[in-house]
Amino acid sequence: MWVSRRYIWCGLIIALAVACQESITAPGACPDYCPPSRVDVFDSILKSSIDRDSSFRGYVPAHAAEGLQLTTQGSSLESRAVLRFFRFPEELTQGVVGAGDSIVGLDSLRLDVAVRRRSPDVLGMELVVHRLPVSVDSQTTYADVVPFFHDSTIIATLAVPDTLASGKLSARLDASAFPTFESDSLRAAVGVALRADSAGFLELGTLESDLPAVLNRFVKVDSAGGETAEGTDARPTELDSYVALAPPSPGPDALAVGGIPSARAILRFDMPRAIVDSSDVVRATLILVPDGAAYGAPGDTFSVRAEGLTADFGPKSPLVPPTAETIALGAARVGVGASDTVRIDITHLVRPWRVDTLLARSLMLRIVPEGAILGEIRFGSSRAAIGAPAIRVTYMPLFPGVSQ
Amino acid sequence: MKRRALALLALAAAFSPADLEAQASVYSVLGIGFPGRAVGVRARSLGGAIEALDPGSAVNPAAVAGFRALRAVVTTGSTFRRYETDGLAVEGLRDTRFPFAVIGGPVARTPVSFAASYALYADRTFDLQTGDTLTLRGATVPVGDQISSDGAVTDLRGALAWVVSRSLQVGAGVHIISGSTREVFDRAFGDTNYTRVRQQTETGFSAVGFSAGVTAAPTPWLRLGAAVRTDTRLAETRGGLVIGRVNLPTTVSGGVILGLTPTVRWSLGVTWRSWSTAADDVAAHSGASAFDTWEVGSGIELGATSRIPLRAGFRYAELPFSPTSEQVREIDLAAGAGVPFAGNRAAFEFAVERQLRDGGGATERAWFLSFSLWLRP
Repeated sequence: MWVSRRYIWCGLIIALAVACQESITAPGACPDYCPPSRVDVFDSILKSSIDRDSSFRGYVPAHAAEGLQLTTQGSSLESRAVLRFFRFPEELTQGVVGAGDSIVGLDSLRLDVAVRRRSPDVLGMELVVHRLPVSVDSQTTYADVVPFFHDSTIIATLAVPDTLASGKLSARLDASAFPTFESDSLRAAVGVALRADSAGFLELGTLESDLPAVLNRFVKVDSAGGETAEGTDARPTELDSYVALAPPSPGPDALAVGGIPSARAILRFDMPRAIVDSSDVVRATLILVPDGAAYGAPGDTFSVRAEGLTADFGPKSPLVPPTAETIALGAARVGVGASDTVRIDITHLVRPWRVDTLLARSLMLRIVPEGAILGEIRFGSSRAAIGAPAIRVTYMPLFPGVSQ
Repeated sequence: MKRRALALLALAAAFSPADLEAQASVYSVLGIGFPGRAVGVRARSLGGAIEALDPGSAVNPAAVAGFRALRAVVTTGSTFRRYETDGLAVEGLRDTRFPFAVIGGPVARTPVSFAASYALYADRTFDLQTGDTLTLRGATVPVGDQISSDGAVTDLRGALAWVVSRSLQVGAGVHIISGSTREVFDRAFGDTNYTRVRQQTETGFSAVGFSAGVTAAPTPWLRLGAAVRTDTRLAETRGGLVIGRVNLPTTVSGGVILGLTPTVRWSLGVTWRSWSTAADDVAAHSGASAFDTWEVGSGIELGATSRIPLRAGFRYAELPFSPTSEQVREIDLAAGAGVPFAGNRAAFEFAVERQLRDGGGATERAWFLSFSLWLRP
């Protein structure tokens, strides 16, 4: 029988095409028709797997923070902003109105500040601007500036609209606002306090957040025709900081996190190898017991973050840079005044310990934004008789020989 | 010449090592897997009845003497199946693999023939999804598991046959049993606080086997064949460690081909395997039961000497592993044909099988389509 070669080749092509299909996924009929390996899930609270923990202060000082958190007068952590502006030149520099003309006299000034956030439900807020000596610096303390915050030093008051969540505020200052402006080599410094109908807070921008306070100068200049004209220039802050009443010092068995200058706590883990090296951790929760109520601005909340370390060098340990996937992980929200147990999910930090044995099995606790808020919380350390940190781990043992 | 090159190209494309596995079955999760068949498409279409006499199968090394010229054969098989277990009905499953290949021929100016073959020993390919709930941290958490295994235990055979006389041939073979499976366990939690887990591992298998056989043709219309095979214990390794060993069976096969007329041949084959020797190992490994197995096949070939022979067969087989004390049984109804081309230097063969498996609390129904291409360079 003669068979066309064309049909034979068609048959071969069909056979090869059929060879490409596959659909073998099916619901399992357990236990009879499932693999014998059972994968159990275990949950353990490890109370003695954290040791050699300690806290260190001084990571972000107030003058290097992204914000200046002001609290209303009478708050337990009352705070004031301290702003010192760059020196104005004796002549207007190129590029501003009146440049090249001689300054005949100072007409007025304008202070611009940027509000980053505020207590949303506190009404009648006012920023009260006081004149400060230009000798204020990053070492100036709350006690140092208190004598300068009285009615006789008020040079302006900025009403904060109740509807303003964030934005710019300006205040016109008389030429007489800074009587020593000339003798201070054309430099000026101000302090800002917050007043409101009830306890609250307001946060000002800084040079670090690209929202610095700015002092604008309006002067009379001698124009080319011998007549008087107006000129203006501006200077941002060369120092923007804030000072506050300090909370009580933490006890020897406490781990301080947050505050100004900001403090961080380092926790070192010594977890059983059966869990870290021979299991898949599906959930890990760090359990921290506060050693008292959280400090901070009235009504404020802040975020306590746990971050991994690329290497454990003690207080100067480099943090693992967050990725897009982890940026929102490993944090817990804490309300000022609260003393509830804080639970932070650290699954994404613990899981890499199995595959990357060079990673430090340590974590750093800090608050976000660091240094820009007064928020501070103290947790019991591993040395504390009650309230030591613990880790709760939910894990699945690996198959023998699992490669990933 | 061009046609031969094209055919060899198709053969090479089909013989992809990554796909050297066989069809899956609901029974693949039991024991060391679903047992494979070291038979070609012609033997399949005859219900396996000529296994002990077919040079295109890898059962009887003496049958290798049937290679009158150098010949290479590669087989592809596609399964379309459904199964039911305890109220669970699954349909629309399909997969395609390359379960068998052989190359063999005579050694010039000697009464010796050789063959090297690849065959499936046990298929361990499956992909199962299950759902459950767990109580974690005091809350009920739904979980979805996907458990898959991809791979097989394979049988590489080298065989030599000696033509003692025109009516008697003997042969011996060495089998290297190897292979690996990649097992993946994937668990997703219904609560996003729990991280999805994917665990992956590879399991390797190794053993050796020996076979011997004889074929005889006492009359022009009668051919007889018999073979025996024994294998060492199958070592199962994971991460470089031996995690288990399983006894492999002794196999005894026999067959007869009877020429009813010059163009009609009837065949009968019987195989017995002592799988019960693996019972303790299998029970410890997976909790399944293991039984000795019998296979009986019978087939008829019409137009055996014509250009396009037509074949039909029936096969009854017992499967070695079951999750219960009830042994699983299989009935195959087969049909097929072969078409030579390229001046009889190549042939395209195909078989269609209806497979009915019952037992162990499951029922499986499958269509198995197999194609082979053999070439004589």
